Amino acid sequence: MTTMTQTAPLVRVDGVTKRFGSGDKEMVALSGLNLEVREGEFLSLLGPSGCGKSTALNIMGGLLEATEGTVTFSGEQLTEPNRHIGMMFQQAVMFPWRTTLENVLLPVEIFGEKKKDFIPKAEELLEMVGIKDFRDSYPWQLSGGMQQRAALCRVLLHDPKLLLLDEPCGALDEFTRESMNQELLRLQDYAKSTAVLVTHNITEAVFMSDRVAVMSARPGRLVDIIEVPFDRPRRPDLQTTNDFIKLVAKARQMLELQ
Amino acid sequence: MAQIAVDSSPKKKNFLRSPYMLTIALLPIILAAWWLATTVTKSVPAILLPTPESVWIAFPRVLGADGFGDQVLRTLTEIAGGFALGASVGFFLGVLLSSSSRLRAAYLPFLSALEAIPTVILAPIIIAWIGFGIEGKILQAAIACFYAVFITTLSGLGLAEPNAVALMKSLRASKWQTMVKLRIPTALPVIFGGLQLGATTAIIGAIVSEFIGATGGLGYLMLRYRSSFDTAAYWVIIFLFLVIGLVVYLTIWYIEKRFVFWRRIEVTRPDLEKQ
Ligand SMILES: Nc1ncnc2c1ncn2[C@@H]1O[C@H](COP(=O)(O)OP(=O)(O)O)[C@@H](O)[C@H]1O
Ligand SMILES: [Mg+2]
Repeated sequence: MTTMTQTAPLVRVDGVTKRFGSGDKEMVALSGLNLEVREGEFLSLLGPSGCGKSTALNIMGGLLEATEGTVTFSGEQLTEPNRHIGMMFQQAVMFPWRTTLENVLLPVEIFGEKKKDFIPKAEELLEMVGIKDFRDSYPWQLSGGMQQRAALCRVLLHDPKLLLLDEPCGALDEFTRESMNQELLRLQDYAKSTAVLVTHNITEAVFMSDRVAVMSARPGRLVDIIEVPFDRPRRPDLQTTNDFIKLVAKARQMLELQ
Repeated sequence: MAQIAVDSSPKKKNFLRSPYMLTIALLPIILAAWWLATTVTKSVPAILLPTPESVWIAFPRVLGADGFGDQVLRTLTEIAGGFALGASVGFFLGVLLSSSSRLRAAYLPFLSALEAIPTVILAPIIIAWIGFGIEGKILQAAIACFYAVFITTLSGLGLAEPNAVALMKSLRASKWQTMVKLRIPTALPVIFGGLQLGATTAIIGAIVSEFIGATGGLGYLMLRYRSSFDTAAYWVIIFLFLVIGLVVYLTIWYIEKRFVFWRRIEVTRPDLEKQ
């Protein structure tokens, strides 16, 4: 369903192959992946565990080098991590010796900027995700969901153009995951950034995304892309509608057909 | 929990159940056994183990002897100086080697092999090189404690979670920033283990080297008491070393508690951490 009227994509993944190891131990994690991420969209990478989703995301974030193929970000070839790309992982990765606020301000220190310039913004973000009261608490005093919210604030502090989310709710329980996902959608919209979410949860992928890129089992390649037409903001009860259930069924079928 | 010693009110009640009570309860047993073996049954000759009373009486004599303070000060200086030197070098080398696999491959086996050389063998060489003075003892204590700090620093710096390293990388943090903001703090609990161990070996290093040959210090005093068969005084100094060891342990433990306040599950002092 690609049309020629699209503006240039924010990210273009071009024939990306990733092999780990060499010789007998060589393992193809990703095989000829082609993908475009449009400016402002929410895209999910959906596939079974071990199919190379994280590998693909890490290559898009400049953390890993592709064995073959290229990644273009904002029109330029990406070879290393980029300030305008923010990453979130399955673990919140909060440093236990830092308070919530200090954790959120970590990028400021790394970038060599003045902390005090960013405190108001950090506090605003903490307030938006409802953990402002915990700004001086340490991560171990926070629940997993709260930690992940703080990690979200940290990644949004510098208004990344692209958010790369590697199962950020994967370690959370079902209820926390739902509200965290809502938070993600709200803040992605607020920050007007583009998001790529890696998940192996079909419902989550459909609920969150404008498009769902379905990947095959290893070696990972793109099976198809499902367009998700529902309006935003999306409310949890969307998940009980017929159209939603049909799309989920379609995605499931694609995953099982391979 | 990390909120150690925040709340002090229930502490008094719990003291009876704290592990200190086990230590304190052991003391009369040890004393009684000691007393039985020496004073009562006389089954152990006083030259091997003096009676508790004679040690008790020897305390003021030893502590009040001329220049005793200077000897203590000298040994403490050796221990502290050696520990500071050895721990700094160990930490520095740990950081250096952790940052390069080539350096590691080249020097780690060599440094580990050095550790196998016993202090006793090294002491005469150091004395021959730089004499009986305090510098040699400091060097000896430093050599004795360097490895524990070095090897724990090296392994501790490798403990940062891959995700945390990826986060730093995604922020384009320099190697140095990753070291200071992630690797070193992550390694601190392990490094403090090395510091505890290193402090003990620094004490041993200083004493052994005083034993081999010195012009002052507690080890030197012990030698003198031994040659005059003053076993009770000799034992007094053994007790002093026990006290020094305890003070050093508690000091490092206290500093660790301040620096590593965020460490929760771990064990150093379960009695305090429970509350
Ligand atoms: N650094 C690595 N070295 C070797 N193999 C790896 C590495 N990273 C990932 N793999 C392998 O590549 C495959 C895809 O991994 P990954 O991208 O993490 O999958 P997913 O995120 O979809 O679960 C897996 O089989 C994994 O074991
Ligand atoms: Mg993964």
